[in-house]
Amino acid sequence: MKRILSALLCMIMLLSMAACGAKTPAPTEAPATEAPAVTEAPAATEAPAQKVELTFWHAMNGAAGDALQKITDDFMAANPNITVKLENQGGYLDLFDKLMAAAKANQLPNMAQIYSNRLSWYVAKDLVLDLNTYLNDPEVGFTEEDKADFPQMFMDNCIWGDKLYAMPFNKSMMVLYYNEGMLKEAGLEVPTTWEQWAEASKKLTKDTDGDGEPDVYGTVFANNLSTDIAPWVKQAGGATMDDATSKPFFDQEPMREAVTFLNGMFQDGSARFAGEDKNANVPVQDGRAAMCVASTSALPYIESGTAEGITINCAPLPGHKNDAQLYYGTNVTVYNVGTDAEKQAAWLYLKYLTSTENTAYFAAQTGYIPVRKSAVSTPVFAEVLAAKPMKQVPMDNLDKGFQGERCIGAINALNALGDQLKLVFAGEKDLDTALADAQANGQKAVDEALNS
Amino acid sequence: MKPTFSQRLAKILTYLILILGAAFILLPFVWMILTSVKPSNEVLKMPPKWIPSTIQWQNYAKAFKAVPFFTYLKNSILVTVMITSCELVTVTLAAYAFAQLEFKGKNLLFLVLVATMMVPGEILTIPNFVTLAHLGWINTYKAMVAPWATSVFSIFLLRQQFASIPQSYYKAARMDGCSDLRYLFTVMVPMSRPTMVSIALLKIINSWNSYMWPLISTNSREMRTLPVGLAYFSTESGTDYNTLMAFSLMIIAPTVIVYLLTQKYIIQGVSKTGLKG
Repeated sequence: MKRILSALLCMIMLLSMAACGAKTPAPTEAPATEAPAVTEAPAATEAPAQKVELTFWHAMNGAAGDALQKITDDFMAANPNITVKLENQGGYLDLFDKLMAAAKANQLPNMAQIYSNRLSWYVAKDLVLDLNTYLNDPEVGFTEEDKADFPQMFMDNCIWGDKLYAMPFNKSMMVLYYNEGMLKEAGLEVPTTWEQWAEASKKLTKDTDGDGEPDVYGTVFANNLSTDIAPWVKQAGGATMDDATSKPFFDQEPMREAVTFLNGMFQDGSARFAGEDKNANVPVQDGRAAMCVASTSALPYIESGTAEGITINCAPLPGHKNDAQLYYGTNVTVYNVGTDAEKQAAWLYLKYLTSTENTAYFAAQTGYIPVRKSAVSTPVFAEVLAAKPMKQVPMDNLDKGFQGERCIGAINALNALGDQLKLVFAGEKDLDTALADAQANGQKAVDEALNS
Repeated sequence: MKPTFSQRLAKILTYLILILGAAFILLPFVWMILTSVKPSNEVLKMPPKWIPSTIQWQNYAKAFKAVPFFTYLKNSILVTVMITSCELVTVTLAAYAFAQLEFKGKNLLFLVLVATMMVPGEILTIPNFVTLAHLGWINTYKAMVAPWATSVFSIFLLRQQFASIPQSYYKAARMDGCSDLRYLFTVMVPMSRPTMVSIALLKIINSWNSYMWPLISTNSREMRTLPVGLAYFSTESGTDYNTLMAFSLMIIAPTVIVYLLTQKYIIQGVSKTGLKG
């Protein structure tokens, strides 16, 4: 018996190494998705003559993943020669780690969803396709009207020099969510300036049980405030970094002014980080905070997770010297891999994905906003705007919008800034020393990144 | 003899500590079960709302339909069985060689192997991916199994166990004409059953719960395992904790059952080798 068991074990081992080479061709079980009404898909464009298979690595989960699958299925139905394999790579960080590993192994996919501050490395290594050839092609490209339909801010985020290295995909805006009831009860209007915000935050902070610890905070910020500190620096008249040279501006006056303002709210006890709540909107959802700074992409979670009796609304970030508003989100890039037919097919897919009808559908199903201005007038998105007026806010502020830094080293430099700001907000380090250290460490991080 | 007051008090205190310890360890699982049936707006309430106002069994249906569950389950089972069986074979042979055989460079080789345990696994992720990509193994079962087909820690653990078996057994067996392999499988392996079951069980649990490597080494849904399905419920803007907990419970149920059936061997293995693993 023992001999049989040992032999069986050895056989399993041998079989597992020998027989597991081929990918299993078994059909997948398609997850059941709700199929909401969709407007008519755009007509098929010039598809390649031969059959082409593309891989698209993405990090869209939940409803966003389902919406992306629906759009892709419609594209493949309209273009029978093109197969687009959507390959989910987990979360954003998992996706970016895998793309880096794939680049080092020369195994990049045809297309990938990626932030510009990550794409800049691939651009520098000449691994990305310039899409201008296709964009301006008279047969498969965009008309001038189409080009103008994309908000310039989103297109600028995809352009390096005179080359177009991506197309905008899922975008959102940083907004101030607030509890309508709490503001009304306190007799406060929605703040539109830094001073009004600080005052409202202090007034709305409550210590109901008298233990010295607020039970309701005025404002909650995301844990990674430093990474998204750009809007306050811009509103103070400056920038976090020079996008052209990667030089950080961490010790300059606009940064100092922005951090002083934010730190004021932390030090007077009216603001905190999300902490173990993980997302800043969570305490607002159950009445433990009056306001928070979060992305419009959090809207589906706010809608489903808000406690009864609480009404949450949103407004643009209060301004200071200007009203600059931060937009974020990824783009889709096409890597310089595969045949010409695959590259053309990838462009056709991108064109389809960013069409008015499809960007409207994607935005309607998720918390993201359409990447085309004309999408607001499509029936599917107009219906969403009527039911969810909060989604109008990011559409109304596009002209004041900007996207964050994307230079090589930006992520590491901002992390170095974040390490210092944590100490400032905790009252453990003075601002001037912290910003000087942030500048030095940030520059060092940039230099390392530029040399890698 | 009737127990004295101090003996009774000691017993009560012992049970109290054990109950408190068990409650402390079980609390996350209790929260997990209750959260899996909660409505979304009660999941993150502070102070925590332990008992949901309504029981939402549909969270399980939603979790089940979110990913190709049976495909992922099949892959999880296959990969776990393959990794565990590969490890048992390689670890048994290696531990026997280090414990029983004499060959040149044995001690140096063992030191080098133990030194590799100091290298954090995360550092090996990209080099392993690059190697497997060059071999053309990405998105195959080979990629998911090969890097985990052995374990230096398990070799070390089993070597200690084999070394504790008296040499007189080996000498007697050799005098009777027993070969090394026969001695290994007829004497040493049966005498080391608790340790081997511990090794197997730890491997089963680690393989079953592994998320990062199956995510990195596979691309298509046909090849993914259950833990990779967890990513479906999390986005950059938020997490559906109730459906995530429902899905998590569906994943850990098999490992809990396996543990309950083999816990006797784990305890024996821990007490014999003195190592928890």
